[in-house]
Amino acid sequence: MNTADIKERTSVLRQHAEQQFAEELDALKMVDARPRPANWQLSPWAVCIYLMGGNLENGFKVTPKYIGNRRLMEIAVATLATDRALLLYGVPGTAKSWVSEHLAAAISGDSTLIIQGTAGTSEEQMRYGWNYAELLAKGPSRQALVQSPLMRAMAEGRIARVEELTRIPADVQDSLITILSEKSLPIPELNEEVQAVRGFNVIATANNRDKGVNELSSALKRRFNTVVLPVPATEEEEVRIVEKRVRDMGRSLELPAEPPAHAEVLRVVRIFRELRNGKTEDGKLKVKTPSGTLSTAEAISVINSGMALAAHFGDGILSAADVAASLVGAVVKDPVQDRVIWHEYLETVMKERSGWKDLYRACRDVE
Amino acid sequence: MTMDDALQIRVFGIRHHGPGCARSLLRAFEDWRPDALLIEGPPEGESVLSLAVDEAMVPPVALLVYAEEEARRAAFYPFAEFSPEWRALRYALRHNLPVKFIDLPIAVRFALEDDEDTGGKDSDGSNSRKDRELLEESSASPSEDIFSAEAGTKATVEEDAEKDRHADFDMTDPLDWLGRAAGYESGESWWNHMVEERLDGLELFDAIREAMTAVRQERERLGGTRFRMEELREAYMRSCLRKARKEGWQRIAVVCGAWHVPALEARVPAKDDNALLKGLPKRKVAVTWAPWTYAGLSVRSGYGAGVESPAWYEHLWRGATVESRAVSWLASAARLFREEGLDCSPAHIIESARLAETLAALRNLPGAGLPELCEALRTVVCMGEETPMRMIERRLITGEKLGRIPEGAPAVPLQRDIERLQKTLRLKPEVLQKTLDLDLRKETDLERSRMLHRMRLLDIPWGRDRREGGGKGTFHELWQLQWEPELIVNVINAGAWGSTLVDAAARRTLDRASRADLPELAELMDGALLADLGEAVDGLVRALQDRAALTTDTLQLLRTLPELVRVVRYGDVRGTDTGMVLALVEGMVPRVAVGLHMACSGLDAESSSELAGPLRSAHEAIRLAGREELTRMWNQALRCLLPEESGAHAVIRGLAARLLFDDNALALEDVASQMALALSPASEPESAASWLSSFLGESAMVLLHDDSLWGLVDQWLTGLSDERFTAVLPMLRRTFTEFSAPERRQLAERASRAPSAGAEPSETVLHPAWDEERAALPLPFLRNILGLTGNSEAIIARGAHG
Repeated sequence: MNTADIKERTSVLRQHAEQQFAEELDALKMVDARPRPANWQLSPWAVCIYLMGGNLENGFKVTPKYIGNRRLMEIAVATLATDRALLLYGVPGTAKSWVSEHLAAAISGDSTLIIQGTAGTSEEQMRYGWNYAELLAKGPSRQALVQSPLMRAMAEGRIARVEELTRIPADVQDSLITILSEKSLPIPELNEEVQAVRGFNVIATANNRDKGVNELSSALKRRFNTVVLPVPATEEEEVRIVEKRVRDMGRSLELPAEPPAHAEVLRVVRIFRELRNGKTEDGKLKVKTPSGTLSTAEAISVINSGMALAAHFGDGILSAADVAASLVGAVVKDPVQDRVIWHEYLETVMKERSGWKDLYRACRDVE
Repeated sequence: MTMDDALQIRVFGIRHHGPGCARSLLRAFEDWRPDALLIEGPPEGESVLSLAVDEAMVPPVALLVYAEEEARRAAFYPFAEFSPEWRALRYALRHNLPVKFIDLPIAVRFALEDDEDTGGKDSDGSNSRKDRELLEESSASPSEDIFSAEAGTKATVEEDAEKDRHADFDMTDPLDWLGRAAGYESGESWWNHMVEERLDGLELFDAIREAMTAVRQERERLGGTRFRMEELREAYMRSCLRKARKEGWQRIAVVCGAWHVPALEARVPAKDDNALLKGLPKRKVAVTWAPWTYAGLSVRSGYGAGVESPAWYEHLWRGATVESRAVSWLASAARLFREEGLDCSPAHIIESARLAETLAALRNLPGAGLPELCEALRTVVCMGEETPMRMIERRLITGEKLGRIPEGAPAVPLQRDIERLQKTLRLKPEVLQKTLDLDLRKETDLERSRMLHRMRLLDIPWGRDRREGGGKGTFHELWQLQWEPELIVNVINAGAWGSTLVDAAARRTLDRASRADLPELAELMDGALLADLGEAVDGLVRALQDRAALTTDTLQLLRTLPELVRVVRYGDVRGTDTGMVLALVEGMVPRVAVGLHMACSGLDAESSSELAGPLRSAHEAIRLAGREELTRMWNQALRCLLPEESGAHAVIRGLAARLLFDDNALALEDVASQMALALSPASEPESAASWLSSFLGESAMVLLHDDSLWGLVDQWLTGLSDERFTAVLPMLRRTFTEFSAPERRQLAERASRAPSAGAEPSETVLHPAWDEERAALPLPFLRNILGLTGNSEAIIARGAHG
């Protein structure tokens, strides 16, 4: 790697996982003596270490990429090793894409073979397209073919990533079926096919709470092993994640506000957790769950918009009133049902809680 | 296996309910052919041991030892088909070997526990403490630790409760120590992989002994205290060993928990042990077999020596090789999934098996264990969701097996307890039907009532409550008693719930509560209070709280409220503490108040009328509860229903107006304007009629005798113009025909003396200073605009038409 390369990389807005953690991957490769599946850069064991963090025998420290249940990561890695495709499922903000990127980086050393699923994703983007100038000039040929990332992954024996699989129209989704079961991609125009090289596999991510998605056909479902990534298990874990992300984002948005007080983040996270889990954090009282997902990502955006309010219209310090406006908006997604649930929560939980009077009043004032 | 100088004694350390241990144990027996067998178990059990080989005996069963005069003190010793002790026992009985149980007698342990409880306390304090402890036991599980009657401990393998409770350092489970040292998540998974899921033989017991010796030494080194009960038990077991040796057996096999192996092999002078065991107190105990369940064997039931998955262990016991084991287990899971209507094809099973194997390899395990198989199923079959696994969990992981015992087995303790109560309360079970009138102010009658209510909760229909016949008197209960011989079956069935009537009733009630909806919960609460099940009431209150918080059905809450308020108001007669119920009511009213508007809006006439009853009784209940804050909240909610924009049907609006009017929660003028609004020309005649009839209620009596109500209606009526009056007449007729004929006549009579009625108190309140002269001034003008020709008397007289 020459200096120009390095310079270029440090100036990019966001580095790929395999660039950012190149040192860790190299260190793991050095100590990893376990058997590797064909075309894997690391053994399944080393991939787990890379994801969950740990100390290597030579004293090198691998940072954790995923904070949560180790067994889930083991299942994900084992799935890829059995050549079944992996579907990471979960509510927004549960690190699905993050895990997918790091898995691809660790297994193939390349996390860039990615198809972003949208309502407009077409079959060409999944399989292959044509360079029409070339096609008209010389007729159908390999040169005129524009490979999709999926096709390249098959040819090179790497991991392909499909983001937001359920947003892709159903008929386009189904073009994955042949690829996943036959492990080949026919090109009838050239009377050829691309057969997947060992090491090829697909990691897809999908959102299980999104409304109006294209439900996977059961034929496709059967070709995936599904791992559901849960919301953070404990309050401390979630507060830590929210605070870290808010700090990072505040820096990039260049908000003049102070970093949010721990207490305010804690309150927002607690409200989110209690409503999401259907009971108070002390486990003594049950509460109803609103229709929204109330994910960690939304808690982050509540704090962020509160900070923007505080910065531009307040004294720069995040207060209950700044949080309340976006908090109510985040909780009450359905104007009828959710409002009742929110009121019940206000009256039975928040009102009674000592030290929460300011937030309670601020929330009532928003109405 | 240790060689003794003169005789051979082999100590086999096992894990209770470990199939791998059981298999290895049998193999060892086949090789070594012992001529006597000592098992770590209660010596009291020896009297019923012969039943273990009875054809009709099907495990899981439990050896049940209980204190004779106090059946609630009971210790269960469950055995499954794969329990090493059970296998050893069957082996010995089949080969006609003498069997001895060598654990410290339960009689002594009960007595020692009593001493502990009463030591240094005045009698009152100790009693209450004991009760509490025992109730804790009962709420924990129907089972008790096999080697310790102090249930509620969680030690997994070596299960000395005292060790757990007084642990100076993390010594809850020695296997956890070893497991964690070997890099496993818990001792359970370590032990499963090292022992239960393997197929090896005799060396196993040497390895186990070594491991346990190491752990015990470690405990010694870290200064962990030894506990008296443990020392006593091990001393007793050693002295049994000495006795057996004296009797001259040549090859004595000892089967005990792995934890005790080093202690039993230690060379301790006989006189030390004897000194320790001298003069121990004893209590009278009885023993029998009871049918058991896999659920009761599971550690989740709170059984100290329980295992994670009895069904998996049974599978291990029966299964052969590592590979075929995984596949057949997955196949049975597939069958269960299909029964639940979930897709699970053979392809799923193949993929699950592959994933489980890969996972095992990734985790450096020799073969896929239960966690790997479950994770594979969840990932491949259930789309990563936990819920479908939950659906089959009980059947797949815990198992549903229920044991059977032969008919000749002695009676279950519940039966004894009921017989004892029948004797002390002088209630003879008779086939003849007879009626019993109980005066609850008398202590004996109160006890009798409680007993009958408890039996009712256990589905033992000995007595039928005839309260409906005997009126609503709070001090009397009428029962119809008839004892039918078949009831004994119900008693035996109920025996699974507990060993005394009160425990069994409480547990059964709590179990039902876990599945009941709100109104049923309130009913159970009523039953539990009548039966005086203190502990169950707490559980019910918690269940009610949870259910109330989660329900989206305000109507259910409404229906539950009156029952609860009744409990609060009248529970005192029976001397029950109703403070918690009161707190519950206080928590429920705000929920109802918040949800009331939603629940009432958008309903049609029929559903609204159905709602009227619950609304009225809830209103009554809240008024009875007498909490100002609650009443205020509730009235506020009712007020929200009043305007037509609320979306509530006229029936509800009329009723809300009436309820508020009755409570003086709504100013008279407001009520009047509501009435005028509801009955104004723009209203649909249908809805106006509904409003009025629901406002007036079902009976005319209130209208007749409530002056302010009368005044209100009267005032509205007299204020109508001729045309309006004619227009509303059909509607009025409809409303008033709902009243009975005599009522209507009375109404007419009262209306005809209306002018004088105008002087009644309410009227004067309405018009405090009635100035005839001034009032007369605008009359001609008004008459002119309204086009009226009649005089005021004529208008008032129209009231009689109704």
